[in-house]
Amino acid sequence: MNDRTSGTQAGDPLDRAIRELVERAGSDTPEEPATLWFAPPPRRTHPRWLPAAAAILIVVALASVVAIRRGGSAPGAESIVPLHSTTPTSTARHPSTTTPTTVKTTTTTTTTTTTTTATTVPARPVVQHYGRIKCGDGIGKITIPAIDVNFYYVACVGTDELNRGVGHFPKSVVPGQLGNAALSGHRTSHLAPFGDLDMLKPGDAIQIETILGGAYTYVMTGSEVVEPSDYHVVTDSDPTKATLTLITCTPKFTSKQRLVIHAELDPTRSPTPVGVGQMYYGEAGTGLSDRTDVLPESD
Amino acid sequence: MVTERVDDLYRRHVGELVHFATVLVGPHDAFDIVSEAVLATLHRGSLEGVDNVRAYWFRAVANTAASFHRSQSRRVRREQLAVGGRAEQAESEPAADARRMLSRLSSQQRAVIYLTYWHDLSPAQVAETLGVSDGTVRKQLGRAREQLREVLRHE
Repeated sequence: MNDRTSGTQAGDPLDRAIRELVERAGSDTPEEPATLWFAPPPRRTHPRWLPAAAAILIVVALASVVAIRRGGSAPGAESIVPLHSTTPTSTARHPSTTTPTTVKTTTTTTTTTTTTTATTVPARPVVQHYGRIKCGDGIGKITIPAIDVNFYYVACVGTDELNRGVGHFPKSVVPGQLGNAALSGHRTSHLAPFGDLDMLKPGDAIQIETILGGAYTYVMTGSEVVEPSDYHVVTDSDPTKATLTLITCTPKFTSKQRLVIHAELDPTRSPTPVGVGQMYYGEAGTGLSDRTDVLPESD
Repeated sequence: MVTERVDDLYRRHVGELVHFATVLVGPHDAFDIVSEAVLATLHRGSLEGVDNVRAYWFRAVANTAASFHRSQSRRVRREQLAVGGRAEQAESEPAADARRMLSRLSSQQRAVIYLTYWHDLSPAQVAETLGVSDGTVRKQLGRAREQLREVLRHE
């Protein structure tokens, strides 16, 4: 924010109007196709004859397998279908295109909510010492295999932090601790770490590695769409359970509302025991970028 | 720096590139602009030696959009669409209005405005992304803001 020397101060009404204009101009951006519609020519790194030779080998191998099968069992009883034919994973995981501009509701709409196993409280939670942390310090890594997310998360959720990736709400516990840990990331700008958060399904794993060496797996339990003022999704916290909340902007390309993903720790897949502890964000009361207790803009 | 495959890079950036193109030319042509721009950068040679692919592609989209405005191809494409090409991308009225207001700016000014106000880039970062000088960006930003002040006043 401070490095903007162009005179585009946040308070200037003209700047606000232009910002709003740009947001409006992009509000009917079409959903991008899930796949490439062109394929760049692959670079050949092997000799020309290699594919042909491989193809011949495969044909010969298949032919011999079929010949052997034919010899033993009834003809046609078995085919060369793979044994565990996986359900076709369609690329159409994108939801049908929504028109962001028609969002007029101001009510909180819960879309999915399911519950999973309750986390058991370890006999003696480990005390985690993060030491003194400044906003912007990297404190862990979040990996969501289902949507190809692999990002470091840093302390605080101010503009500067979110412009660099995923941020941690200082008013929540740290992932890997009892209570609710909350992370925020941009949906469509600034690397868009949480661009595909809407495609997460209950049961999907969210893996966390902390700078203390801890490894935890959270399981997605549900999602909802809330207003920016619904800060309680960060602070709602059950001190006997380790939960994780991921927050980003919705609809895409706007900062109107917030998409919230809830997840719970799966102790069976978390090699490190959960801990308790506080983060020390420098001097008390300073550096807390979520100053007004409003979910930050993460478009 | 290009250690990733092109299609991974592309997949990572296509969303924001299409958004950028939509602000510049609207949803009908956004995909065409992006694919034309990206393909051109690939044909021109590989991406090797390109420090910042994302910036390179942003620049390519801005340039393609600028020449697109000048070219006839837009009209031709529209006619093809009207004759019954693929399904029309929905264009929302408020978005079209906003683009009409932005269309008073030059395409370079539009790109500067977009990068400044959507991506919160500093003039230096905008200059790097668009491959122009710092001074040009500041000048264009100043002019664009004055223009928009006028446009917004008449709203």
